[in-house]
Amino acid sequence: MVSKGRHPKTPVAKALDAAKGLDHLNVVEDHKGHRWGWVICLTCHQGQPDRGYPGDPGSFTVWSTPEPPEGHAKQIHRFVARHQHY
Amino acid sequence: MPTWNFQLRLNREPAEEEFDALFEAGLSDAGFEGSLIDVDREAPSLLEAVSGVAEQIRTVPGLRAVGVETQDAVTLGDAAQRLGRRTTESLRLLADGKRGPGGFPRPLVDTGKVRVYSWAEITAWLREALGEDVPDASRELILADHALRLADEAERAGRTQAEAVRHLVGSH
Repeated sequence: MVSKGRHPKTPVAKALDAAKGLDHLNVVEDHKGHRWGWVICLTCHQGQPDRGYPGDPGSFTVWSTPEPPEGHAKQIHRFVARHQHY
Repeated sequence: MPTWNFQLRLNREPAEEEFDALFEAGLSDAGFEGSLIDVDREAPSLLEAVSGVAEQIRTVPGLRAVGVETQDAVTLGDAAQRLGRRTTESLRLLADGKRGPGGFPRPLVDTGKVRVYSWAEITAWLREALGEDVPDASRELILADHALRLADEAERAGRTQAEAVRHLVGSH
């Protein structure tokens, strides 16, 4: 049983936990088709902070069943690295 | 088979209804951010990985890859692949100060399990600290970028020109 707010794939869930720990990032779950949700950079994002937008440079798409999950976790870490705003 | 990491730029941002089509085309190993796609793809070579992804993108009408981005955020595994002359372990030993003069760039992100570094900082350090002749981007990434840009220009020029370009590069 996977709780709401927790991604079903462990490596992805851990990467999302790391993103959630940063003030300028938001993790939003919306379950639309193959998409589990979004990681949103609040500095770059244009729109509501609790909503990801296709095409928005500050919104990263998180799949429900990425293959392999480890690769998707790396992509989330790279998104976080690209959005380190000092 | 190796896994290759690279980022492709699309001709436009995908619309909401196109995400599922992209996933089902085989891009379950990619992450989307605006018109940028970050991919980790298993393939015999980087060029085959890029062409496989570009082909999958084109299955969604109106979307195509138009270039390769040289991304700065890399893991040590990504960096070793780009360098071609060092293994991940060799870079890890340098990063941990167990080899070399020390002072390897600090990671941008360190979760304990995953460390993401700046490619620009790594290459600058390899040049300055070890005197290595390191290119700013791998030859294959540059070649893939040129090929995608050419394909995009040909596409925009029209069907006849696109066909002529295919003949020029020897593809049928």
